[in-house]
Amino acid sequence: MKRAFPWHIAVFLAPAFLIYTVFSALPLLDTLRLGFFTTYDSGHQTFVGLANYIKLLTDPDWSAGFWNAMHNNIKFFLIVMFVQNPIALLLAALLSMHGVRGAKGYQTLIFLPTLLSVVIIGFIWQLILSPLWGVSEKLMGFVGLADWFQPWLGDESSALITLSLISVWQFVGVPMMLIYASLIAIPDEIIEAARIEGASSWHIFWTIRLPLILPTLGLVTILTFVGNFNAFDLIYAVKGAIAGPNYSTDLLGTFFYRTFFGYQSQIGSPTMGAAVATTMFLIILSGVGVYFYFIQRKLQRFAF
Amino acid sequence: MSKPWRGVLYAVLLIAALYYLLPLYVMLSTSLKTMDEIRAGNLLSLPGAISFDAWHKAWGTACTGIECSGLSGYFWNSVRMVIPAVLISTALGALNGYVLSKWRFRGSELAFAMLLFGLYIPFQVLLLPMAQTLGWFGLARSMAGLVFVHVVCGIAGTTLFFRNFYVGIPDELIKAARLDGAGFWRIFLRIVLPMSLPILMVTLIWQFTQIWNDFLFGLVFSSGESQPITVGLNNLANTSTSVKEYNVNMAAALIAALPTIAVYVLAGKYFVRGLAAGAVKG
Repeated sequence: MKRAFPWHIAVFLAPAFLIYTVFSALPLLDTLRLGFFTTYDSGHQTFVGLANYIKLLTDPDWSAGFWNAMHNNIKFFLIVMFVQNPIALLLAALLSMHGVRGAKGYQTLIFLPTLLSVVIIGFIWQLILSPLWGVSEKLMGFVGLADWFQPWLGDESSALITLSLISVWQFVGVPMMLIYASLIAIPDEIIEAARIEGASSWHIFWTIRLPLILPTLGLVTILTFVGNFNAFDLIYAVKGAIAGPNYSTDLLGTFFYRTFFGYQSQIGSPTMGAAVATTMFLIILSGVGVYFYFIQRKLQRFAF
Repeated sequence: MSKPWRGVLYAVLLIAALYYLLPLYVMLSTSLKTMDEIRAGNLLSLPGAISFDAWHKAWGTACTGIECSGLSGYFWNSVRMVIPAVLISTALGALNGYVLSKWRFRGSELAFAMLLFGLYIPFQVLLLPMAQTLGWFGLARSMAGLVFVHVVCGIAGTTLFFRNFYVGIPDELIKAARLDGAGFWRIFLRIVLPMSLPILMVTLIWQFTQIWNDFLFGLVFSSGESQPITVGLNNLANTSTSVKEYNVNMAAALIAALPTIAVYVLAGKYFVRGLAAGAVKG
C-alpha cells in the first residue's frame, strides 16, 4: 500500500517523532559534538578536535583506566555469551521436548529474576555469597566442596567473573524464552519426516532444529552484545561507582559514570564523558552493523 | 525417549529449579526473621516465628541516607512515574506501529529504521543533552521529566512490538474496511486495536518492568521528591548503620519486587504467548 506522501497520516506520527527527535536523536548528535570540545575552568568550551580521544587512548592518566574497563567489558561479554546462551539453549531444548511435565512451571521460575531490578539481584547474591552470613559455604559443604569457598566478590581475581555469573543467573530466562518460542514454532511435519527416515533425536536436534533457529541465536547474540556493553546497574549496585576491588570490575558504563559525574578526588568532565560515551556508541554501533549487514542479511529474515 | 534419558532431563531441570528457588527462598525467609535469629546462624532454616517487623521497618522507618522514613515515599513515586510512562509509551507505540505497517508512505521504512536504530543507542550517550533539554523545558529533576525520559526511551521498543505484530494482520481487512467508508481512527479503534490484546499485554508488561526497574535514569534525573524505588533501595542498602540489617534489606528488596512479580503472575501467560506471536516472528 504505497502512495504519495499522505500528510494527514504523517500528522499522526508527528508527536512521537518530534519527541523522539528532540530527546533522542538531537542529544545523540550533541554528545558526538561535545566529544570534540574541552571545558576550561572559566566555563567556556573550545573546539579541540580529536584531543579528547587521543587523551583517552594514550594519556597514561586516562588510558590505563579506559583499557582496563574495555578489557573487563570484553571479558564480561564473553563469559555471559558463552555461559548464558548455551545454558539457555539447553534449557529451551529440554523444555520444548514432548511431554515434559511442569514445563510451564520451570519456565516461569527461570524467567522470574529477569523481571526484578538489578539492584535487588545484586543484593541477594551479596548476602548469599557473604563469607560472614552467607550460605554458599554451607551449601558447598553438602557436596564436599566447602574448602573451595572463597569470598569471590571481594577478591580482585574473581569479582568480575562472579558478577558476570550473577548476571547470567538473572538474565538466562530471556534467551531461553526466545529460543523456546522459535523451537516450538518449527512445524512438526519436518521433525516427523526426519524421524521416519530413521534420524535420532540427537541427530535431529543438530542437523534440523538448530539450523532452523539460527536467526534467533543471531538475535540473542546481538542482544547480549548490546546489553553487556551498556551494562552499568549491576556493578554500580554491588560495587558502587568505584567498581572495586581496585577497579577489577570496572566496565565502560561505570568508567563513563566516574568520568562524567566525577568521583571523590576526580572532577567530572562532561566533555571527556562525551568522548567516552561516543566511544561506547561506536563500539555498539559496529557490533550492530556487523549483525545487520552480515548475519541478518545472510539469514534472510527480519526478526528484531 | 528412553527411561534413563528422561531421568537425566528431569535431573537437569530440577537442579536449575533449585538454583533459582534457593535465592528467592533465602530472600523471603530472611525478611521474616528477627536480627537475633539471623545472627544465630542458619540462613537456610525456616523462620522460628514469623515476624513482620522487618517489613514494617523497610516500609516506614528505615534510613535511606539522612532521612528515615522507609521506602513508602519512593514506592509511591515509582507508582506515579510508571503508570503515565507505560500508558503513554504504549499508546504511542500502538499508533506508530499501526501507521508504519498499515498506512505506509514513502519514507515510512526509513522512519522505522531510525526507530530501530534508537533501540541500540547506549543510554549513556543521552544523559547530558537529555539533562540540558529537560532543563530548558523546566522539567529537570521533576517527576514529569522522569516520565518524559521513559516515554522517549520506550517509544522505539513499543513501536517495534506493535509494528511486527500488525504486519501479520491481513491488509485485505483494512482495505475492506476502507471500502465500507471507515477512516484512519475508526479502523484503528474498531478493527486493529481489538485484535491487539496479545501484543498489548506483552508491551504493557515489558514497559512496566523496564520502567519500574530502571536505575540509571532514576539516579541521574531525579532528586528527593521524585526518586524511584530502585534508588531508594540502593540508598537503604548503602546507608551505613552500625549493623547491617539483612532482614530489613531483604524485606525492602521484596517490596520493590512485588509489583513486577504481581504483574507477571496476573498476566504472565499472555506474555509468553505474545512473545511467541509478536516479537520473534517478524
